[in-house]
Amino acid sequence: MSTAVTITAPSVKHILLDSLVVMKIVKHVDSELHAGISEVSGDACAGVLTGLVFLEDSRLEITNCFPTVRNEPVIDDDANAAQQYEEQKQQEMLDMLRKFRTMNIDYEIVGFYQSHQFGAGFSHDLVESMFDYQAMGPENVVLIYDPIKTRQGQLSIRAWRLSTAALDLASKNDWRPELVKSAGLTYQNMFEELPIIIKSSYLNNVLMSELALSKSYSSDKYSTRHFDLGSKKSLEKSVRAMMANVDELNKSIQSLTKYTIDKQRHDNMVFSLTQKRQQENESRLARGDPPLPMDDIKRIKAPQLQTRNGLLDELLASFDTNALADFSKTVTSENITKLFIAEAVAEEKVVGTKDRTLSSVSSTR
Amino acid sequence: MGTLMGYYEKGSIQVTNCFAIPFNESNDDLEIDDQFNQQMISALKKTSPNEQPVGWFLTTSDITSSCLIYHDYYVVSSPKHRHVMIIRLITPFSGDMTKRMPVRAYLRSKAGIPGAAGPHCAIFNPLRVELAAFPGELVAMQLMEKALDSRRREATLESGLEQLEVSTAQMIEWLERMLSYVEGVNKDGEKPGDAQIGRQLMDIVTSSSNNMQPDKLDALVKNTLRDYVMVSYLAKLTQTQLQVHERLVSA
Repeated sequence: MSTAVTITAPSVKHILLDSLVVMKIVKHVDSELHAGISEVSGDACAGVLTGLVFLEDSRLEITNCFPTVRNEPVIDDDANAAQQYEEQKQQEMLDMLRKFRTMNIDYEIVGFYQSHQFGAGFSHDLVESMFDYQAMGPENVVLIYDPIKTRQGQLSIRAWRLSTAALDLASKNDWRPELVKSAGLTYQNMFEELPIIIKSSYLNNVLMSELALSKSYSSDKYSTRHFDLGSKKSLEKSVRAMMANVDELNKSIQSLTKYTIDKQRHDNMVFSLTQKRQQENESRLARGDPPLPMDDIKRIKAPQLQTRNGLLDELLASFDTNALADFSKTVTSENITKLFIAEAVAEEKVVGTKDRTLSSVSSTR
Repeated sequence: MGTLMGYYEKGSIQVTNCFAIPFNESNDDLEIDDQFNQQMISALKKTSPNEQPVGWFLTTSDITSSCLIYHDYYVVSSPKHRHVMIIRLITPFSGDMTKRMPVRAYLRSKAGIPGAAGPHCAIFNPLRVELAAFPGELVAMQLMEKALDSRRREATLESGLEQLEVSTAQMIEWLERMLSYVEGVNKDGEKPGDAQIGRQLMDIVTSSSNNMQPDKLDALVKNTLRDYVMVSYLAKLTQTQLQVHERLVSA
């Protein structure tokens, strides 16, 4: 799939996001969520980002974006059709970029965005796409937008890119445990997060002030959504997703241990066989016979790690779980704060004891 | 100038997308790049199939006769649609409107002397413009408003706790204002009491005392607190476990 791709270390330290891009991403994802499309064909709501790179300032400016078509289910399993479909998508993207150029908008691709629930959706496909984009330009990033958290009152966009070590392995598409270990790759240093700053132009500012004055806007604006205490359902879902990930992680860990044991056994076996051969050869030489070849020993196959992508699955699952755990952690700590605030507000009315160890929930069985 | 996309809904037009197109206005010659327009429309249709072209926009301060011609073009290029409207985003920053940038929408209708052969002219009837947004979008816009205050027009993504801080401070400010108002009214009618505000205050107080009864609140707090603490503990435990595992594997 990939030939020799030169991998240069990215030098961008933070990202400047135009408010236009934020609104466009939010609009695209939210309208699809609203129409319920995401339940039909998976949450692959994605699009391309365009902008500019400023090397002296080591920042990446993202100034525009456009959504890409979702993957339609391929009706006929004709390999040709799939190829054509890919080309068509490429063509559309190039078309859009050309239009951007006519309209004096930045047309250089600087990455892509995807929407995932709870900000965790790291899969093999994502890594492949990230690798493709980063091969195109070393500064490219992926923006993950979390619609659930935003609905709960807090805009959640995070920027990631593959670290150089991960890029290296991805280019060879080879994730065997030895290589991963020698590259020193852990789930923590596989993806790098970049800080995001949102910037709006002067014209934007004027528009925002104008909207603030209009009556219809201000009534919705001060939504107290982030004071909402009722986020239990989404928390449940995220915990369930974490459980699924941990299960998968377990599986890959088991296969890894099996592999290590097998490999050791195999190594020992080869070693002992070689020894015996050596001795036999010496005795044969002493007798004047031709020595036996060593080839058939070498032909004993080394054990393979059972999973498809070597250690990649394990890394991804751990990273995913980490992101989910992040989400749960922040949400729960905020909710605890809200509870305390609610209590403080009703302080004068609460006459009962504040003994927290007592639970008024009777155990149901 | 550009095209607006959206859909018609129950007597109102919802505009949900737009894009700019190149146009040329030199002396007497007005041109619009039609191919660009059509291509853009078909490209956007693929990603959001519900949207159709519903109008066009122009960022000037007056409606001139060239608007008529542009409007004609749009009516011609999307013949299926009944109404095609225009929106003007006025950006002159001069004259009597230095501080504002209003958005206005119009619908064109033919006008003329009744009984004459054909319409003499057209009148652009103004329409009411309202902002509607998805909940996620409102949140994003709230964040961007913070950029109004920052000198470099920047806003960073905030953590939940900061946001809670800010909004609690805001609520306190509002409560104080209400309090001073109520006190002003009570003190020998210094301020005129408004019956509507009084009724709304009454509503708030009764609903809060209904929902926040001491025992109910107690139960709510205790149960949910334990749930949250447990989930938080599990999440942190998972994270530590992951880190430990990494150390073991890579050692």
